[in-house]
Amino acid sequence: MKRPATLILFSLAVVAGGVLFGIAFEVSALEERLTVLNKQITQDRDTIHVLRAEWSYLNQPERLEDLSRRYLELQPLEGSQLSEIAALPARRAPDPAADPVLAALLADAAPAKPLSADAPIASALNAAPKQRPAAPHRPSRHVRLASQPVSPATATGTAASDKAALDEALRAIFGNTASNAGGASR
Amino acid sequence: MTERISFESAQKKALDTARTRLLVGGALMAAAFLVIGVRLVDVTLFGESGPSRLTSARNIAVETQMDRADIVDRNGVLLATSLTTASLYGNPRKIFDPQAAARALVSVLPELSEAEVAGQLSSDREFVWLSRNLTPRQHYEVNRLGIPGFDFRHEQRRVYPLGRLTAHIVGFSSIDNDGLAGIEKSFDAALSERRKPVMLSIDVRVQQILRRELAAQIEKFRAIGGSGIVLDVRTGEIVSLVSLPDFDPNEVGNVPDEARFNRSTLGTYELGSVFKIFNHAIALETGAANLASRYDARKPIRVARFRITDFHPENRWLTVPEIFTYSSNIGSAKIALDIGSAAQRKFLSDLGLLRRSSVELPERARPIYPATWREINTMTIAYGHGIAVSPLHAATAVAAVVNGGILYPATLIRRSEVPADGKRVISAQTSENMRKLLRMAVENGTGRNANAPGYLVGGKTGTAEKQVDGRYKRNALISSFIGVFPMNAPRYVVMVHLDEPKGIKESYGYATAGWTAAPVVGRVISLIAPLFGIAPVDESAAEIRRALTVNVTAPRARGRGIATN
Repeated sequence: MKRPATLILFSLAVVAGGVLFGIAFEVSALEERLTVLNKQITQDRDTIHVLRAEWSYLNQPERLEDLSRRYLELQPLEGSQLSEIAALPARRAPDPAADPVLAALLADAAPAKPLSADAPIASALNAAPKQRPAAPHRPSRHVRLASQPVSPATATGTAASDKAALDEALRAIFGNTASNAGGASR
Repeated sequence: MTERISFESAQKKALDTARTRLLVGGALMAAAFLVIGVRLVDVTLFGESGPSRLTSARNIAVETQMDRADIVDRNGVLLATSLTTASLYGNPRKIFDPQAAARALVSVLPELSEAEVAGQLSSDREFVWLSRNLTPRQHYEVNRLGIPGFDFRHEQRRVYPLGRLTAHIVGFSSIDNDGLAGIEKSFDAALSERRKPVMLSIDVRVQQILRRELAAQIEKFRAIGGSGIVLDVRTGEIVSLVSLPDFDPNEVGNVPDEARFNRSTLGTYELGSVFKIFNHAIALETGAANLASRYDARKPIRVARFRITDFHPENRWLTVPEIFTYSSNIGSAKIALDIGSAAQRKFLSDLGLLRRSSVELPERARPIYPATWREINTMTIAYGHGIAVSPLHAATAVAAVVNGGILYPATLIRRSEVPADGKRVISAQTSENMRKLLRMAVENGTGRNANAPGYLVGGKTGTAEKQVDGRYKRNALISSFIGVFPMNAPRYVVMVHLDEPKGIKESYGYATAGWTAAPVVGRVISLIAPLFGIAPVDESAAEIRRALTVNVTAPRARGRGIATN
């Protein structure tokens, strides 16, 4: 009776000791890692701090202006380039029979969504090229503004072919500025 | 028997002693376990009185060391920050071959002279500074050389990434991180105590546009300097504040005083006709005149040794709106006489034009005005002579005139909402009439060149001769323009002044405000309005025309001082 108890106690003590050492080693390993990580965090913070200053330095408005003048074909926005959809002149409903591009558009868009709500957009699209400024390459705000409501319509088209068809239609309408219609500028 | 008893008692005694000792020992052990048990319960159940110091010290990474807080613009763009930089020193005793070390060092730091470095490294000292405040890249390059004897000391250095752009606002601090000018000085204590950045009301994009346009105009008209201000009329926030010439706050060592002088807040100028805005506002507010009053502007006024004349003489009776749009000095002086000296002084004081500005800069001017306010002073002050204020004073007061009549102290610190410290100085009705007058002055008066189509610009020109040694100099002008837009619901005041512009061929030799300052305001407004999300409107639309035109159907004139209806 005495002997098994001693044995159990002894083995318990050994196990407890073993676990204790195990934990102690683990803790010291973790602490080492913590120190390394903390050091790294401090270093990263310092780096971020320096990078923030550099970011601000590189973003000097004067420098950006110079870069934009050299590499972009953009120019400051003028008041006359801004307008509202409501301010566009009213236009009679387009006749699909006389306009094959619109007919293609209608054929693709019709199953996805009733077109009645989009009708003013279509007219806005058609009206836009006439007001396009003479410079062909300059991305005009006007064109972009008029075409903005197009993107939700694109999203509703389920099949990719819808989008392709729309892109093609837009290209037909806008000529080489079609790439701007999606809102992307070079 | 006795022996046995004694034996027994002796044995018993020994047993008793042993028992007592055991008991004491046992009690001690029990007490010790009890203490441990209690402590165990205390620690596990009720402990948690904050983590112990050892662990907390290990758990938190060291924050970036910063002697001073950052300064940022209203969108968070960094305007001033402190960087830890490495400064390179050498220990000549550890360097075996000074020539080779110098050659290697100069290959990465080309601004140093090889001979000089070699000389320094051959000396018998233990410490020589080689180069202070290296960039992180240079630091890395020097380390990569791997030459023993080169070492670094870390120093904090104040850096202004945008350089000149906000020099007059942010100011600069000394190498010991004491603020010496601008926000750096006025917020010195706060900057060195807090960690959070100080957020200014400045927008660097607007700042750049204003500075660029102003600099171009100064060059074009060969002016000696100028200033520009964009002020939010609804909060008193200064969105942009430019003074030219300016300086690079990163290298303040040999900047001339001229460049350090902040013309927009520290310079005081007789601003000329710009003051007619206040003169008219006071007249309408006090009832000294109304929009239909008429004044005789046929002949110059002679008072004492002065002669008040018009620059654009109309030589007829003028209505109050006409006096404003044609900028008639004669008419304004007569209006001022009707207002009276006391009322004029009171209102100018209410508009903050007779005391130091509230702006958070150490460089703030005290206005200059006559100590005794005589009738002649009243007359000249009506058209902005005989009183000198800083451009910021004028812009702040104009904001109050157009925003519905509430004066908000100008501030450089970002405000999150409409401030509560506004003070009503004129009525909403007077403010509305002033908006109409300002719009008229741009539409068909002296400020035509400030128009920015679609943005309903209103404003007033002001051209004044500079006083040099107590005399007015004919060819040294202060040309200023205060613009406000959009006039139907004012949002921003844009003020520009040029110091001593010279006439050019394009302006037919004129250097007056309409030719020099007004075009800058017009261009700046057309460029910054889209940034503020202000949509252009159709200026010929009926409701806008109705809201911004003065209808004067006045009966015949009845002479000075009598209000007509």
